Amino acid sequence: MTLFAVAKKNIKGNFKSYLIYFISMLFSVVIYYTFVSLQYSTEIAKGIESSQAMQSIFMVASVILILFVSVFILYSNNTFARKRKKEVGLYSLLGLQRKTIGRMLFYENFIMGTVVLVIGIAVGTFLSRLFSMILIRLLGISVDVGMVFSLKAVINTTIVFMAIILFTSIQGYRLIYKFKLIELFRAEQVGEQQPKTSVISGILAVLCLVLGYWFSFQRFSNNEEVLSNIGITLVGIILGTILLFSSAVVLLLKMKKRNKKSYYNGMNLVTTSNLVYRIKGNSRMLSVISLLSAVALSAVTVGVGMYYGFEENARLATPFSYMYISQDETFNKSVDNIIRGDEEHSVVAQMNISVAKSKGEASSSDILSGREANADENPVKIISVGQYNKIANILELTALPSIENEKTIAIRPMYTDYESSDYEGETITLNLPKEDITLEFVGMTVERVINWSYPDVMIVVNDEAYNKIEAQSSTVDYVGYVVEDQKTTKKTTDALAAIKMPQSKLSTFYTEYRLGIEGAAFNVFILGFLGLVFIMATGSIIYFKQLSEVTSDKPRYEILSKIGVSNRDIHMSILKQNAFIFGLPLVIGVAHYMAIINFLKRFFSNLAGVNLIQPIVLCVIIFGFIYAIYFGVTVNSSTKSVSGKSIPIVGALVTLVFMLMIALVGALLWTTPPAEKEESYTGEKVILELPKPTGQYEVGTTEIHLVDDTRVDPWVNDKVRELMISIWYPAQEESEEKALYMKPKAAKYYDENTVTTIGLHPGQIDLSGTVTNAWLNAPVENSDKGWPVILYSPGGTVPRNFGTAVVEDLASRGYVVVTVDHTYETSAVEFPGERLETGKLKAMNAETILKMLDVRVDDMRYVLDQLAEIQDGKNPDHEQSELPLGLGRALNLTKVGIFGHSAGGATSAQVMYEDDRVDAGIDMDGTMGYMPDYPLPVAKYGLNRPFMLMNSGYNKDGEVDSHLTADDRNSFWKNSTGWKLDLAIPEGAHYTFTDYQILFPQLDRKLSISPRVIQQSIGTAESDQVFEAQKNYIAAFFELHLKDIPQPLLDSPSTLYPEVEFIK
Amino acid sequence: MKKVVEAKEIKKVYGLKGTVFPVLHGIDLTVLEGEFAGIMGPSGSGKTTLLNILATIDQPTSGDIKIDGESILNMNEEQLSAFRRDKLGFIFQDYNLLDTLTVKENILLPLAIAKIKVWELEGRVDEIADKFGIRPILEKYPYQISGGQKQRTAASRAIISNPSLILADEPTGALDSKSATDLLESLKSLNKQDKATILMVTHDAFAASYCKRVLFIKDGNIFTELVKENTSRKDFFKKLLDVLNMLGGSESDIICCSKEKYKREF
Repeated sequence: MTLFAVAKKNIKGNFKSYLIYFISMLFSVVIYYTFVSLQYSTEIAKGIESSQAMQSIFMVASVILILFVSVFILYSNNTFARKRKKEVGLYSLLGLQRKTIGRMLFYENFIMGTVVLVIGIAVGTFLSRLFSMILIRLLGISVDVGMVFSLKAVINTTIVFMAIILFTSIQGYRLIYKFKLIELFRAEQVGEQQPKTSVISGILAVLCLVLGYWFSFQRFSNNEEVLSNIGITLVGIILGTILLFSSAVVLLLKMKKRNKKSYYNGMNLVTTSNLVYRIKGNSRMLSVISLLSAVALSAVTVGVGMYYGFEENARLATPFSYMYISQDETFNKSVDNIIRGDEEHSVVAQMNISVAKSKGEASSSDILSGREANADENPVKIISVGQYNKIANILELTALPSIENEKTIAIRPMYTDYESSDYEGETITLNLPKEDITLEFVGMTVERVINWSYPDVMIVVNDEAYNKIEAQSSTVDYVGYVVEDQKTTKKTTDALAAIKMPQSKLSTFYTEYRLGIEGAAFNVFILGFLGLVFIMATGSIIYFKQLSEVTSDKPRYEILSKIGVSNRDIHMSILKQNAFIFGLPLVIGVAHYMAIINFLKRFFSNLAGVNLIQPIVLCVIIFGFIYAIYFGVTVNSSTKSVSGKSIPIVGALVTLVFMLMIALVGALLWTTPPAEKEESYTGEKVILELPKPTGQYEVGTTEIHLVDDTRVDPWVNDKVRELMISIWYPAQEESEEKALYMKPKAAKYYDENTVTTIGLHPGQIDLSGTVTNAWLNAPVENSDKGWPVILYSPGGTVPRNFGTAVVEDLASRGYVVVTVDHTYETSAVEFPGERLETGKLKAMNAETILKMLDVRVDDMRYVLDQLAEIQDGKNPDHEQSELPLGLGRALNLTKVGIFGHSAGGATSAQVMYEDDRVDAGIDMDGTMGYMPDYPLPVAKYGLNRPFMLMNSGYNKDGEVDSHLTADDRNSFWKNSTGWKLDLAIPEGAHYTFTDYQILFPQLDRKLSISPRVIQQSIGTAESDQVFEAQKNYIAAFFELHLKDIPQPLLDSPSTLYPEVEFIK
Repeated sequence: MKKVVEAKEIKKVYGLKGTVFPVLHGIDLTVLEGEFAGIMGPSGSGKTTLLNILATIDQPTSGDIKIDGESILNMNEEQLSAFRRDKLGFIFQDYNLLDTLTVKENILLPLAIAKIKVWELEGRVDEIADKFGIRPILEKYPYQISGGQKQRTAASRAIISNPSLILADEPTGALDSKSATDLLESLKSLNKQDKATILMVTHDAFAASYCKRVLFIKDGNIFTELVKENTSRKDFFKKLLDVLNMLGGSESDIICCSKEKYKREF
């Protein structure tokens, strides 16, 4: 018989003792495989719109999982090895060579590992289908998921577990070498000794815990405080837990022993002394389990809390399923027809709500900031308490109490966590035509009664005050509808969007709800999954430990049986011991969890203002259920192993709890609204239109594929750097066709991935059908000296296409503009031959961002080199496609400008710092470096040539964003000696400096977009006006510095563009 | 006199179906109150099986057993446990002490299980500890004391609940001669002064010489019976050896050894 065959026989023969180890390994494989196959599931990736984010989250989660699984397997392997020491000793005694025994153990472990792997993958295949279904339900999408079997997942799982199995097998091999024969024989006899404890460490344990808990409840205001609070909380809790189990619990048990009356009462003697005897060996396990449970619970709660909070926020932002501002009768009628025409979502209530609007001033900028005051002529909305309560009644909200004269109740602005106390005592003054009315805040409610719109300043006053205000201010009449099942009103929402007028400010619950549900659902899934694995693993660890203990306790129970203890009493004792071992970490874990969650609640902004009681209760109940099952199973197996019988009621209870769990999960799945069948969008696709260039020339464009043989690609490392650039120039004449806004494959990618981040569905926008104003490959207009050249670098991960509007305008005014995509940073770049290269960035940290900027500078300088080649009559295009006629001659490389948005703006400045071929540049809303610690050299030392800063919006302190408020640009400004100008568009936003500024309003006219998305992307100012201003200032800057044409526009603020401020 | 043990026609067959292995062939046994009876026999003769059956830990294949007037064969598990707790005391060769409990706790365990009041229970422990001379070690754990002390602890535990019958299974088997003699003396005085009924299984003639009556078992049958009556222990020991020689078998060597071993002590 070969050794291999002996090993096989051993496994069969010892199957029972192998079983526990077997199951724990199986459990690990199943969980890991399930997870990985979800990660690789193409169906889910298709279903999830922001699949790139998903991939990276999955990645992180699977790393955590691997770590966890390895520890878990090693732990159970150790326990198992200890059990087998004696057997190994016997082989040795029988004269088997150590080497042979080692090899036999190696084979055993290896055979079993392989069997486990195969079974695990089979089981995982079924389980992953279940989990996919859960994920898909949570996401509210509907994709058909067949049995998920992914070869990639199988390979991944196999590699990971083969490594682990190999490691444990080698450990098995080494077992025989590690110990002396005598130690092998005594393996199971090394009894745990009665632990010694001091009262001091017991007290210390309690002190540590109190300290940890106390700090978790402390408020924090800056990053340092956050760090120190986390530090103290964690150290306190961890140290406290370890001390608690190693001393305080022992002390407690010993005290229990000292109480003779109960200690000498029946089996208490045995139960308590057994616990004391084992506590030393168990204390480490119990501490780890308490901590793990707390972490698992917190993770799940954060996930559920975010999901729940997200739903809650959607409800708070849009209390009405549909709401719009009343317009003429035809419009109102047609809206009504559409809403009432939707039979699946019948109207529950319809309301007309009148709201007064006024100018105002507040005693604190928290209540009414300058920004809000600027965003609307009449920023303050006022509603009467009578009206409010009428709506509250219909929406089933709590009614407000009556309000005295000169008092008011605030409605909490969305996405803040102000409390009543922050407002109390503060005042707001309404500047009405005839008089100023000052009102004092006496309270706050979180429930708004009209759908959110910016500025979000709304107060409730008593009816008398309201009448007075209404008489001398403008009022707005809102119409609100509440319909059944409002989460699935996609069709009606689309239909309404198609007829909406901008001034009607139509908003729907569905739009708000869809926006971001993916992120939330995804969080809850991943965190829930990890939490579940942790909980199950902790349960399993206790199970294994208890079972191995009860096996070695068996003789003890036999003695008890001989001296007249009934099986029932023995079972009760086992039950009580298990209750202690399971109950203690449960109680302590839950206590820790309460402290941790209290901290996290203030740490995650997504959880701000979310009432977490419901998720907490839900999590604790589910957690308790799972533990109860483990408890029952453990007690059952233990009693079975001692007396061959189990306690029937425990078995029944386990089954009951298990059924309840299944019922709960079923109910959860059942009650989540079933996703409507996601038929791809069939409505009319929105065709985007770029504004006509205003210069005197027609515009031509061409694409060039550059391959830089001298540079290894810094992002992928295994090939040389490749770039796609577009050249835009004044064209001599029209060519056969206009260039597409985006090439088809890239358009498809952005339609599927980017469009969804603003809450729209793929297919709603005709991205691939959108054309530019430029003639493809048209011959270049002649110019004596050639046209000045301007380089354009887009924002971080943003494709070059989204700067087209301004670029075309510049080209039409007589410039050659070159736009550059930064391959592998840009989300997707399409190369010739329909090759799509997607972004390869990992985490967005300082390192990545600084590297990004480095690579960009190199890209831009390389492009400049290639332009010189073109000027020399060469064709750098990798495919050698013909260049537009006259392109080389048309370049004037003695006059070079550069500009860019965001990261592209920072790139522009840094390129100028490094390369004096560039004469002038613009940074549109780009931070020069990674602040506060890593400013770019250009921010430190400034420039000596013309440079213009353009900024948008406000910083988080409510100040206009400019070189006065941003450290990097402040330093740049101070150190720059050349011509400089800083322009701010306070009512714009970051994406004001991209095509979004003109495209978003086009979408908003035809589709339903959350007003929040628009406000956050491009701000609140009139969009065409802001675009006009931006393009004219940019043109003026280059006209002045590249063509030497004086530009009065740049001298002082213009009445034509009141949106633009000059920051001195 | 009252019969504490009354066993009739006890048969025990091990094994299932084809391979049947009879151990006891129908043994009749009576132990009277206040008796100190011994059972001897070579290995495999069935003496431990008999003791286990009397101890209610094992069930006979057929036969009838009354202990203290109660028939133990019709009891269920619950009743048997209570019966063992209240009526029987055990002393085993390997002590069977719980290593998680102190000596004191080990001794009072049967009383604690019977839910006797604390004050009463502690009094009893002290009283018995004195009797066996283990008072100084009451707070120690089994792993901290010697074999002899362990066995005296076990004996203390066996008698603490005033059982009707004390069953001892090779109680001296793991002890050195001094400890063995101490223990046997203690059992003897227990029998004499407290009128305890003791049934001891042993293959050691020296230990058996402390009994008032010794039954010999061979191949599952009662072979013969020796009664001490007025003979001295030394003579009784010799008689026992004679019977053992007659029985023959593998055990003669052990007897020789034990003869040497105990020589000085007579």
